[in-house]
Amino acid sequence: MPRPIVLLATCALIVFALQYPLSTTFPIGGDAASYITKSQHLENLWTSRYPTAHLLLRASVVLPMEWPDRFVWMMALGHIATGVTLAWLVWCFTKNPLACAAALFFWGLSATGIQQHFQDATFAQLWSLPWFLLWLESLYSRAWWRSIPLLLLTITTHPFTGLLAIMISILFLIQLAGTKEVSAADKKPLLGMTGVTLMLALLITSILFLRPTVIRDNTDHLVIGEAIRSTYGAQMLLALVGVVYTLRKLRHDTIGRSLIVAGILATAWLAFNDNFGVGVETKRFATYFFVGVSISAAWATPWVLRRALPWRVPRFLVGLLLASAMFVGSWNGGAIVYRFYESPSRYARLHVSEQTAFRALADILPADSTLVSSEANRHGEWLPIVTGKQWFAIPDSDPVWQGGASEWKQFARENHYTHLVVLKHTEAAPLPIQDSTDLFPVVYANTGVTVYRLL
Amino acid sequence: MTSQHFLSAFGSWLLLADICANYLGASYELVVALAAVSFILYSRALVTREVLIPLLLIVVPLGLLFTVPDGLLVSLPPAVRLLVGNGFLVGIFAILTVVRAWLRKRPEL
Repeated sequence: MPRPIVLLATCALIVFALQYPLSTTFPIGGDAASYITKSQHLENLWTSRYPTAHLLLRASVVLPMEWPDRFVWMMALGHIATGVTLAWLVWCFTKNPLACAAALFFWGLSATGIQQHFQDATFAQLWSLPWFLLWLESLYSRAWWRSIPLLLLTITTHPFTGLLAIMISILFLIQLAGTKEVSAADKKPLLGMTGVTLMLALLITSILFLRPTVIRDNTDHLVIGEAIRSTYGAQMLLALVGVVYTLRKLRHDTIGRSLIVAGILATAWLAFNDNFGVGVETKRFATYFFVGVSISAAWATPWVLRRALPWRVPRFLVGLLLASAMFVGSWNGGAIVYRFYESPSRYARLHVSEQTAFRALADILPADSTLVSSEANRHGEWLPIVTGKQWFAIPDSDPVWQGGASEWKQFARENHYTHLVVLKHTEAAPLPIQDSTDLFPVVYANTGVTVYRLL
Repeated sequence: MTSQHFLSAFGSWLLLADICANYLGASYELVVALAAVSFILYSRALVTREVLIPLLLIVVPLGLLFTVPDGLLVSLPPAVRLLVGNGFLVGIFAILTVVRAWLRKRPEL
């Protein structure tokens, strides 16, 4: 498989993935701090929705850098790992190096814009994709027993990917049950797989009934027209050709054909569930649809190029021209996204003045300090990670925000809160604290942060 | 199939999609996408009439029922809506598989 075209596409994937850590100075997205906090301590791992994801992030302690930087690099590694496993799956189906290279390249193009893992810091979902793709490969290779641990890893890394895998399993097994083309050797492990799938389906159904809040109402609507107009448009158009071509090619391969049909149905259904009146989490489920689009488009690429350009040199030149245009478009798209988050005027991620302050607090404050900040600003969530001190958020509804200096003093004594951190880009310190610097002395201040001593 | 036949047939499918979207309340994009995909698969003989006829008779009416605003699912919590939807897809798929197998055993139909 290691042909020059595959190596070139791998380089393109790595370049797109590394654009994120090399263009940004801090993680973007709201969930990064939460992932790091849980992975640092590994507490309540078995009640977490993403235990394997937390273990993976915990394993990143081998990287010689601070936690926020580790998180960013692990996200980039997750994008690369997904691209490589995606290309491996395409290789298993086609044995075609150009299709494999197309899979690597197409996944690389999706780093920002169409997929929003970097922007949303959806670490668990991104890292669930390599397991999921390896699981699909194990089914296609008839490695039934290997598929079971991969399925469990998928579910424990991200439950949504697990839900998709269960859906694909069920649809796949229904098709196999309706055909006589399954060999006798495959029947026994398939029965075992059916049992495991049914048990997991029952488990997920029970969890969804008992904890219905794990699924949220839809906030976004996936519009095919917009996706076609985006830099991902070419893949969307190629994908349909890829599905038709591969289904025809695999018409005598019951396992491969059944897997593709199950994959198309499950991913399309989940991504467009709002069109069926369900309306839940389409933004998250759209990821799987675009994974499918990348695979199908990669299948179609060699076939379309060979049909359109039978001669090798023009084919190479036109392919290079198209790939270059897509590369530049996606690179510029990514640069716009990262510049937005880096812009000091946007306040889209932890500001430089806040980073400086938090790092200084790690040295200035005693080890047993307990910090508090308002709940309104999510940047406060980085305090325990960067300072290494205990931190709590005071809810906006807490009456202490309306209280005087004595109420604040009593509140701090009762809860053993030693310092109040005020992030000045969005809020000001309560007036009783500002006016009583003798009771609440300022221990640190810069343009973005003021820290008051409460006890 | 000549290009003229292809275009006229494809045009008919799009017209059907438009009627579904505008008069039955279904999502326009979804219906157009389904119509286009079904037509292409059918024209390439990837989906035979044993699949297409039950698909049109069972899936389309039920699909429309789900897409009509204020339909059956609106009052349920999100997780339950998702489960019902998943069950709907699996159920329809199982019915299609059974119908297809049954029709294959009876070529006279």
